[in-house]
Amino acid sequence: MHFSRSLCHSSGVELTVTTRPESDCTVVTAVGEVDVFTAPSLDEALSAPISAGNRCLIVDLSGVDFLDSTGLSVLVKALKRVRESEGSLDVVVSADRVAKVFRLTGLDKVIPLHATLADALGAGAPDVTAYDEPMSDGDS
Amino acid sequence: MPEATLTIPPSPEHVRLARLVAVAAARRAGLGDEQVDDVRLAVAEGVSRAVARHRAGGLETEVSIGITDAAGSFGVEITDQAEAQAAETDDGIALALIRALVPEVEQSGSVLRLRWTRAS
Repeated sequence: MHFSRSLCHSSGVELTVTTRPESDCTVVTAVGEVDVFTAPSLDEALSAPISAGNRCLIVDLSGVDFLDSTGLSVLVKALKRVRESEGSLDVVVSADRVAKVFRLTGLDKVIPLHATLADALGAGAPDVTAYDEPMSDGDS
Repeated sequence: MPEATLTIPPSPEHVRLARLVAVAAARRAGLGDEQVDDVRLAVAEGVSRAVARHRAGGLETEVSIGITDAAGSFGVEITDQAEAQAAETDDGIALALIRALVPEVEQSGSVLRLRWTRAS
């Protein structure tokens, strides 16, 4: 089992990403802002457990107060990878501002969202919901 | 008449600065909390897109962000230099988000104009 931590900063810390095992899942916790500059560190943190064969991933964004489409792309990429191995990816979101990005893009229908980490861990069984391309109908 | 103009190098680390400046200006212009959140995300998407277009075209020139606080409305104009390159970037989600967040969006080539009406 591993514990890793990475910081991404220019003027002050913008995003901290930590990874830890929890039950049979890997919990990746991000704190700060996920944007075009910091998203690569989240991408790396999500890629590592997937490459190591972990099929249950929980991304805890409850400490994230800003997320843009770059961050969404990283989550979608990770979702596609875990689903290839019939795994699951659940996301914890608490800030309205962050939840809104999922709603506007329709990703809230694709990625299981939870209000708390406890909820996400309770739902940690592999999710086999069919994957739909977000915004495919283009009328949002 | 622009209230402020910010120019940034086309690099991802500078997008945050544009976001912070736009948010501060939106608050000062009297926009409500939800509108300020929309400004934050829309400007992030617009400036990230401009930076991506510059990088795709190998351009090192700056991206410009003009902020206007006129009677009754708040505007942000993002200008890149990438038109000639017709940069091939995957900006579908960014533009769709911007259209969902901003009441008035005008996009012509390398200029993206966003406008909010102040909630009365």
